[in-house]
Amino acid sequence: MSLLRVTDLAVSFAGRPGQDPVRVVDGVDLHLDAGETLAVVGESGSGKTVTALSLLGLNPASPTCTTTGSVLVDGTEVVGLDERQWQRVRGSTVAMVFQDPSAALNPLLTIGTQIADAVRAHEPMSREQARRRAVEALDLARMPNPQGRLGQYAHELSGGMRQRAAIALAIAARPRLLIADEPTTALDVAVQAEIMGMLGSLCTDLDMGLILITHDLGVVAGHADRVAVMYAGRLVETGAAATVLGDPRMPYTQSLLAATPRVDGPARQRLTAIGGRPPNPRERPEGCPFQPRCPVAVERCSTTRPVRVDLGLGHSAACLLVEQRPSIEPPAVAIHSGPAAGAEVLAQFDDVSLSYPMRGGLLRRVTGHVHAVRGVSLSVARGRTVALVGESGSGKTSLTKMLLRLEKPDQGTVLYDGIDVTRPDRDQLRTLQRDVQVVFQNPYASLDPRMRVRELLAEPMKVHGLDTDEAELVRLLREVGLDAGALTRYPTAFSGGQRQRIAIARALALRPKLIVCDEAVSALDVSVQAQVLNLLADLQQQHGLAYLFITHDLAVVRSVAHDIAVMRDGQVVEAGPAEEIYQDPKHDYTRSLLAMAPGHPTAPQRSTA
Amino acid sequence: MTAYLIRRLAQLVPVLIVVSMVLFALLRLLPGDPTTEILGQEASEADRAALRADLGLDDPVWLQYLNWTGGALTGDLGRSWLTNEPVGAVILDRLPATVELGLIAIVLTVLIGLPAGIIAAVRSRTKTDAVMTTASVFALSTPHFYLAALLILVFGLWLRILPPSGYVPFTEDPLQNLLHMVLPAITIGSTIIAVIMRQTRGSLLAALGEDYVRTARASGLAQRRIVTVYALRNAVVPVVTVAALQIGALMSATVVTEAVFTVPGMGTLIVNAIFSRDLPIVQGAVLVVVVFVLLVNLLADLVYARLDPRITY
Repeated sequence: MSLLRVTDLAVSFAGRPGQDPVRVVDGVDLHLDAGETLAVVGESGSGKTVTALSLLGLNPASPTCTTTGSVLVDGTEVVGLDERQWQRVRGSTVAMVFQDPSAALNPLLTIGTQIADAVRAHEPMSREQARRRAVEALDLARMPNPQGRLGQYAHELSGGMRQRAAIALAIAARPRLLIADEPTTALDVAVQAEIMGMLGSLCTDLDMGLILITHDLGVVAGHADRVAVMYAGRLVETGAAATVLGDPRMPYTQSLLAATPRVDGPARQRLTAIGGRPPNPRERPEGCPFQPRCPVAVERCSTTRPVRVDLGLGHSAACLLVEQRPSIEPPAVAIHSGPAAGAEVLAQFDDVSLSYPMRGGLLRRVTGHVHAVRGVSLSVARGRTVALVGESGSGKTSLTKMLLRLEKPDQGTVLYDGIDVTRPDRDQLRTLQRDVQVVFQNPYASLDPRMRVRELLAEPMKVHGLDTDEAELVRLLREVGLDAGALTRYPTAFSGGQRQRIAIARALALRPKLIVCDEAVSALDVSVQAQVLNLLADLQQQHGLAYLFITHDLAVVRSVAHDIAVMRDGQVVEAGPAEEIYQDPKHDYTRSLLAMAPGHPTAPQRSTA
Repeated sequence: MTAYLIRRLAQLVPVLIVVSMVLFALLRLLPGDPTTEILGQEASEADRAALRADLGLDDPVWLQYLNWTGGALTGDLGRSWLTNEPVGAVILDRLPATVELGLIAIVLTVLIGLPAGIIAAVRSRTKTDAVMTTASVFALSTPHFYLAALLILVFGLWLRILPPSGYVPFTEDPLQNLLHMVLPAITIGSTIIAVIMRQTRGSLLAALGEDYVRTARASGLAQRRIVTVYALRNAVVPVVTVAALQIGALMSATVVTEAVFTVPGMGTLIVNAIFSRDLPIVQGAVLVVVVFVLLVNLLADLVYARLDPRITY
């Protein structure tokens, strides 16, 4: 008997009064055996998280949300349980690990209290016993010094350790099924690999089922036995991981794979982005929901809804053309190569150091320094992309802050186009403020929610006395692939990818020469990530822009970087042309970063028996 | 923590200096001649001049200020111009009634405002929530003097179950003392109870929407424990901020309320002293109130650190 058997699961949310309910998940079938890992893959809004939450009864209560179908966990039907019955299931039979461990752990309670609470909710036991169980769970999650963590708070732990604590919390009451929702998206590549490895072995050791929810097929490759691809609330392809990734039949799966950046992918070549965005659940087309974005769609795709066809060996796909083996085989389009190495230097860091003082004692005297950047020299040539790669805390953002005049270097000089950035005169300051722009990681936080797009775009232009007529603003929006209708709307009306386009348009408004992209695509879905990366490449070609591209992920910059500088502990450990770094990394640290990146031949693979 | 406490106490010094200067200057700008109040309309010019010299009113203002603050530093707040009693003794005499009133109002806030906020948040967007939220709007928008008059009319004169006004010291008759305190305490407490209720409701609702509450639910914790431990602890931090700020408002509510219910506390003392131009009493009493409010806010900052381990001083 399977550990989990989901049959014809559907979840609808009630709309506003007078509106029909919206079906967010529709006809989903899943099954999972103990010790097995199933990856549920899809873009934001594909219904994957709602599916997961319905296995825990965590969707809003009826009448807001209605769940139908059957979910058998360990042979017990859980659809239709009341709140008290769900309480007994949650944690002890099915448990969940959420995406952002810094938000998922209670900031005011110690790790020990939270884990012990989770255990005691299901098994009556003394505090001392619960403590022992907490240590045991932390140990299973491979937390260093588990005993010592009990009294610590979430903010005292690093990102990776927080996720270990959150996983310990989830497995403490010994669940049979663990659901992990984007467990590593918020983490550095190195930590990602460790956490994924740990989750996999937990499954085997505890004979537990694992459902891995992700938008990133790169993560799936090494760590899942089977894959279920969701689109617009429906399951569109499912099967063994090797089959689905190696011989995908549904054009959507193929598109997702093509959009996933890989370190072994072609250098400086356009990623195959999936155009458009998933359909609004209220306006799903009559036929195949993927049809409007599908490169191989034929006429009947817009009228006939495909059902999943069994292709043997548990592989099934929902596509009308499945027999013809559709293939979206993308044409290889090289990105305009840009100026050769040795082009005119635009920005230059020369032996730059930056440290932050630590203060303490009665008079808040400086008691020491944190060295964020130590003796870094780096240059960005006109029209080229330099990728600054490193883990969080490696000093890459601190370095660019000195170029943006947000920090002053303790030592060394930062030059931009001959201007000493630390001591510009009036005119030079205006040049700097116009020429150097920045795009941040989180487009949900970087755009003022109370300003319309028109104001967001016009603001920097007004400051610099530029013309802000309608035509100019529309031209800016067109450049980033948005239409004029966006001008009168607020940022909340847009998806993450569209917001990042607005942020880019705002950066472009002053016709800059250099844009600092601080993890500018890290928060985006793979499909959208590819769109934005392609957009950045197009803009570079049109305007001769230079990019200083900050990232923790070597795969992401594969398609855009001319030069790479790898940073660690405030120093550049290796720098050079991108091709050299990918082909022949000199430094051990670069090698380990490459080895851990998804898609690398030596990345840990898992047999898919 | 100790270092922080010392630093914060040191920061109070300049605040107090500025407050005392402003207070002193404002009172000197009051129209009217204190000697008229003290000696009456008929007094001769010579008597007045003598009294003025006696009270030190002929000295330059800066010297008067220095004399006052110099005394205050040694614990001597001067003497009443009207009765010649030491200001310190007068304040000590009036303080207990006000402190008692304030404490009862705070107890009422904790007993009513906090639970009402919790219930309104847990049952948000139900009838219970609507009734409580509406009641709080009434409580917030009713002026204290009006509410006081209403309470006196209903409970004191119509129903005759509570004394309409007056004061009995606790030491004399504890029961009578408390009965006399009920109506004024409700009057003063009305605003704070409503503010705390709304703040608790708002921040608890926000906390209940946080990821860590979802984690707690996903671990199978009971709703009761999730609300009282996982969400409320986080929600209470902003409530403390608002409560501390309300203490200042509570002091001004006291002034009006004590006057209406004829409670011989700091409020009545300040009002009467202002009318009779007994400036040493006004200065002393207001200074005591200011110090109190500043200390309450310092206390609130220390409470944050106890509640939230992320705050370190």
